[in-house]
Amino acid sequence: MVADRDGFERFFRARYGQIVRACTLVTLDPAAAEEIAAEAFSRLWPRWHQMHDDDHAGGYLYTTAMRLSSKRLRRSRREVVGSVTERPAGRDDASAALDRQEVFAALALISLRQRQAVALRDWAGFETDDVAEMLGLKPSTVRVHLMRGREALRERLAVKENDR
Amino acid sequence: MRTDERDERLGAVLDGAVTTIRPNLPDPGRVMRRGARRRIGVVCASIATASVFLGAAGLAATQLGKDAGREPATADREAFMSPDFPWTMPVPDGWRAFATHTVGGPLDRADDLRTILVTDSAADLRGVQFVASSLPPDVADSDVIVLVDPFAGSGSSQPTRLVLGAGRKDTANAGWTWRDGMVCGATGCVRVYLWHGPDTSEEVLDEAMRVAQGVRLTETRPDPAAVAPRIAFVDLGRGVSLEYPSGWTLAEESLTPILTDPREILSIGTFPLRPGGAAPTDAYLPGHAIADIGPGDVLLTVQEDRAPRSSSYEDRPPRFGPDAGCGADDRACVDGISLRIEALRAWWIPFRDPVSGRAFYAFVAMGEDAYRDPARSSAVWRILDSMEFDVARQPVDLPPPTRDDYRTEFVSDERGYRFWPRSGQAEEGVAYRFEVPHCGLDWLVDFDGSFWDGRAIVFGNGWVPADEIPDGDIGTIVLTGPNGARYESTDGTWTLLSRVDGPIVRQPCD
Repeated sequence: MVADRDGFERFFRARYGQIVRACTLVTLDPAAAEEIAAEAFSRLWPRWHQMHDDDHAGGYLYTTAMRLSSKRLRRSRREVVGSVTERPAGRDDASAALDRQEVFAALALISLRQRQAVALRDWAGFETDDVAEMLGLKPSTVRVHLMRGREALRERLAVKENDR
Repeated sequence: MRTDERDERLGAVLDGAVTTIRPNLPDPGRVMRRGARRRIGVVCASIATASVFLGAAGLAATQLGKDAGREPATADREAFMSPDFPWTMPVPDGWRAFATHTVGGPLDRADDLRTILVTDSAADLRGVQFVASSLPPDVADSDVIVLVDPFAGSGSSQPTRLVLGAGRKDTANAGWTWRDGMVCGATGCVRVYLWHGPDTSEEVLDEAMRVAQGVRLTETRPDPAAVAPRIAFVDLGRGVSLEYPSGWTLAEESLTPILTDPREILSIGTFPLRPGGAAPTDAYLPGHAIADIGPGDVLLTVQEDRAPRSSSYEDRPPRFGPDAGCGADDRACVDGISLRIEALRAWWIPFRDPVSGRAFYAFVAMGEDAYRDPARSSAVWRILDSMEFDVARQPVDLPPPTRDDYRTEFVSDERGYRFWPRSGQAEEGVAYRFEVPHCGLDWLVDFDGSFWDGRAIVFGNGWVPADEIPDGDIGTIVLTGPNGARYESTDGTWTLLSRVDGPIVRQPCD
């Protein structure tokens, strides 16, 4: 992939919202998620010419975003708790915001690693091995985080397991 | 369901919570500029197009003594000088000019630093063997390429002008033709090739001829320091060895003492090196040392990224040079002006050493006089070439435990169990790969035959309390003394641990 500005802009426009939403599931703070996403893209740009394709760039982006999310939360844990009860600022309808509050409240009860594992595996759809690489963990550790995170979320949100 | 399977229902619930989020899309240009400022090694080629010619032109102008003291960005637009070898040439508007190492071939040696000028093609020509390999598909048959390669020779007291030989067919590229000739000056000779496709217009060919005829050797003399005896240096603790010219100064302490990750492993310069200081553009840089760089000085700092991601680094090049770590079109990077450090040429080069697997950043900076002096400037690249990295500094597996299970003893329901350590003896200073237990680093860290307590509070860059190191993190643990250890996480944060003698009482981790 050549270091072209147009290609990066296209990728940026296509993926920015996706990264914001992933970071929101981890930080539970849409505003912080936007900052993290912008920072992750800004770190991607200097390496853009080294990216083989969009998947490669996407992997780098998710890895960076998860790392930045961890750092942010570790430095200001109170922000997470505070944001759980905050209503997202008027960009979507009230019912969605209400649902979001319920989901966020459930997510707030599981650990950061569990949120990251669930967000990357169940929401973003990455394979477990890829999630492990993104989080710098062993696949077996990711499975443990997934199992515990899912159990807590299913119970809290009354979600049944997949039928399969 | 198996844990490995995706839970699509749960995913859908999560999606419902965030799908309505419509973030304001920031200006991509702003994001890119922020990235360029932060990770200073690589900058967008397209925004550099103008400045590279301006910068190079100014350089050549000052080199020729026409414009001494003028900033590179404001001088003659029609000259380009190879960053590493002493020649200049005119560069027509819209042409691209860059320096790169040769890959070797029937007509050129490997690893020489050459200059390539090409008409408006965006093709990456860095890996192309001259007249021996197919040109990239985005080189059009109407393009012209002018190559300037160094040529072994003692030079000439009287500068000679180029006389191109007859055109010859390029057997590797149908319809392409090449001609060559020699230009000599006081410092040596260069061979100039003019290479063009079957559809090149007469007008463009005339322009290319003007470029080729305009190649001039400069009068720069080699720096005695660059040819002086070289000194071998080995640092077992940091696992690095190198050779450097006598007269250069090796820093006795880190110039960036606040950095923990990346960590500076080596700094060397042509002037006394002061540690510390506020960095001009990036916290990773040694501020005082940069401030002390004179016009003829050179500085090299090498930092190790201790938690590298494999996708972030390319293997070290066969030979370092100003194009190392630069994108295909990134001329500002090649010219050392992308970092925008006032009055300096500078490069930030991430690379991975394939032998040791370790990842590094090399920061090279030099004053304008040093940059214009090929012997001086090339000396720093040869220092980098000479560097060898030891695999011993990579994290190693922990010594095997002394028993299969923890020895435990029930104390009470309230207090839990008494645990005895089982870990094997560790070696001081060695980085061991260590996985944080799933109940955290503040629960039961068994290392070097003891348990460890993480309650120490340290004020340092990157330090976090032990309970904030994430469960399952696989970082490194190092015995720092008889009763101290340091854990470094994958994200660069670290914490200190104190040895606890004997068994400890804890509730089991569930």
